[in-house]
Amino acid sequence: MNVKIDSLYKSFGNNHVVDNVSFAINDGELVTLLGPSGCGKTTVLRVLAGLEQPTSGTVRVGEKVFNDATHATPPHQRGIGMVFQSYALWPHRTVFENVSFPLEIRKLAASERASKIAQALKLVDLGELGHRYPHELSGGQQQRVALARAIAQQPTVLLLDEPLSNLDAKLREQMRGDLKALQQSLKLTMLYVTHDRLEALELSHRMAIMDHGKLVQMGTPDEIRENPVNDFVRHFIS
Amino acid sequence: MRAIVRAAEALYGLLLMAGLVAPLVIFFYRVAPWHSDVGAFFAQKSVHSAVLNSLALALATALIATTLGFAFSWLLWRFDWPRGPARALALMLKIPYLLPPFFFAIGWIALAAPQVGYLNRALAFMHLPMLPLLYGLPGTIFVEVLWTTALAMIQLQGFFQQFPGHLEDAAVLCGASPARTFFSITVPLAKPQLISCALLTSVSALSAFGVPAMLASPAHQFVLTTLIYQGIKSYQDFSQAALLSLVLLTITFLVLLSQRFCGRAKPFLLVGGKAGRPAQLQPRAGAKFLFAVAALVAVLGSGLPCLAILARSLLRDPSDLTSWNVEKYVSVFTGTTGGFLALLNSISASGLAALVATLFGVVVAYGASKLGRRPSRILIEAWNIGYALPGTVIALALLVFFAGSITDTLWILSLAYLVKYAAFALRTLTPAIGAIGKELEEAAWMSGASPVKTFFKILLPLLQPALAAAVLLALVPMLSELTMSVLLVGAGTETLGSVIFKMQEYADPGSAAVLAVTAMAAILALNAILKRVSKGNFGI
Repeated sequence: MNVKIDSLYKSFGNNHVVDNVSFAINDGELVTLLGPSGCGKTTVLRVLAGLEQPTSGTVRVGEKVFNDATHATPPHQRGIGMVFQSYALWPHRTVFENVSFPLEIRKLAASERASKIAQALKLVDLGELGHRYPHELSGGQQQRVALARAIAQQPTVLLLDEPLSNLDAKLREQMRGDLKALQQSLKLTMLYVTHDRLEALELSHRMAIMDHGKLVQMGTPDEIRENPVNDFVRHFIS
Repeated sequence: MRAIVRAAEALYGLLLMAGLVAPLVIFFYRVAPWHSDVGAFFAQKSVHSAVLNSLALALATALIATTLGFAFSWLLWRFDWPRGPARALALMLKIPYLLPPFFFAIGWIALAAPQVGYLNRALAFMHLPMLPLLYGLPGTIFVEVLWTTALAMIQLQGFFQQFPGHLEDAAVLCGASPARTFFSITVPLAKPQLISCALLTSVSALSAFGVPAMLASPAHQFVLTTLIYQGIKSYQDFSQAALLSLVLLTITFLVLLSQRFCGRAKPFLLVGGKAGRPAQLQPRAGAKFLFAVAALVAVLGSGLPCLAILARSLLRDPSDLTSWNVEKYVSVFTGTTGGFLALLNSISASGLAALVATLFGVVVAYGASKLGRRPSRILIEAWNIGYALPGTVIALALLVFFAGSITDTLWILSLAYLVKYAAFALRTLTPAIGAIGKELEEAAWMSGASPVKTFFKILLPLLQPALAAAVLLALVPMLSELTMSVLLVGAGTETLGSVIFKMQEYADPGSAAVLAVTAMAAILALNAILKRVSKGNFGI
């Protein structure tokens, strides 16, 4: 499903954190939002998720308009999946129950639910750990559960908010490969927020670079590396 | 979800209006100062002495209990004691907080009543002089201090458990002796907590009723609460009660106001992000001596009085230690004493109030913590005021406001308990909800769950220990509540607290002891359940 964001503004009081941002993501494409801390990239992601309301601007996914001047679709009606930076696994539910939750909400039959959960857990290589609670898992395993939960509901778009930032360097490298393979096999439309240029360069079909709430440049990793629009992009990417 | 929160705010607000605001306004309007000869009233010697006695009780209790509570908390949580004895001593010192103070008055009457008290009889047997007279203001202060020390320790426990030991180490490395370090570093660091603790304990002593009614009234020494009770029970004098209530309320208000004023001072102690257990001190001779003093206070404060009540409940003749009479336990609950009905009434009125406090509390706390709603925050503050008000004033206001309608029913008791103790549930639930990360809710929304479904499927299961704690923490003080109950009960609505009080005062101390032991067992069992359910986060 393609995504289109038009003239997006978001202010907290006098602080303009997103300033006239517009971009589109094609169906099945992985776009990273890259920029330093506080540049507004997570806010753009949260607006797309419906967790923040924009001050103005339009958000479309496929044919549906989620945000415009007249209305805002609540997050639970958008059909978008999200992996949080802190994973946000529910501590009172096992791995199986965490992944099952979005399917329970959609009232899927028990047998269908079980097969989808098994499929999602297999995709992230956690087939044997369904009975465990989040506190019984390592950081990398928790990250995989969060991913399985997000993809089990077959989202129209998958949002990832710095999902690898809490992992050590070796695990991060392995997870980058796994994420890329997963995206390619599922052909998911993904928006990936990070401040790590290596992650962005390795994963993205296209990158969108933000600074002080503005979208500074968007293009493929090669285009940006070869033709940075200003010093900020050149320094940030090098 | 906002609609549910708004509905809960409206209903909870209505309960607050009906249970606190309207009754207080009507009470003071209908029976208060402008209807009486205020000058003549305040010229009465009995009023002067009641005000002075209340102030003396509050001041002495606050000073002694805060000093003891501070010393014992420092001793227990700053020194490296063997785990078992230190935990046992801490438990013994804090147990009185779970039980109503008048139980300890009953216990000490059994121990130190002139001629017949167990301790006095033991002293007479050894040809030693008897204990000083228990009845009167000094005896009242003594028993109040033993109970209030537990309250002070609970207030100060958190401070000492997180104390940054390196600040004391730095003083020692500068050459200061342990005593100098304590007075120059530890005490000044704890100043804001000490002031807050002293004010809280003085408010508690100001509104005390059970202990002064049992120990000071027999010596014809009255405090404000007991003078109000005497006026109502003897002469149905609501006008005098209103004036005395106004005095009590004014003093309480001034103390609370000074607490706000003192609370503005920033605490010196800043807890840094560096995690780790604070370094503990090694006990030497002085600390070991203080440990022995604390053990003595624990024995006097909870051990001996509880044992005395148990003995009184099991003996037919209190002067004959061989006259065991277990049948009394059966007769109190099956005979004409009304023990069983009182137990049922207490469970019904307290249970309803605790459930309402928790059910509304969880929604309002959600509104304040997660939705940042101002009406929810105001409601939480307003219910806290209910806890700070003297129970006597709340009960009188309800009596006048509901005269002829729900008086003499369990509804008025439930409402009174709710007004006084809803704050316990809110204080437990608000931080518990606040501690649940926003992203756990957001993850549920992103999984397709509506806010209402998220509340029920994610938040409520995570809050189960806090919900249990809120119900039980509100229930424990209500089960044997005395101050409001003695004014509000009618025929058929007697509660455990009021029946125990009346039996002890007028007829049958043995049966009072049986009911007190039953209440103690129930409360200690609830505390044990609470500790287990909350994995040690709540309870004593």
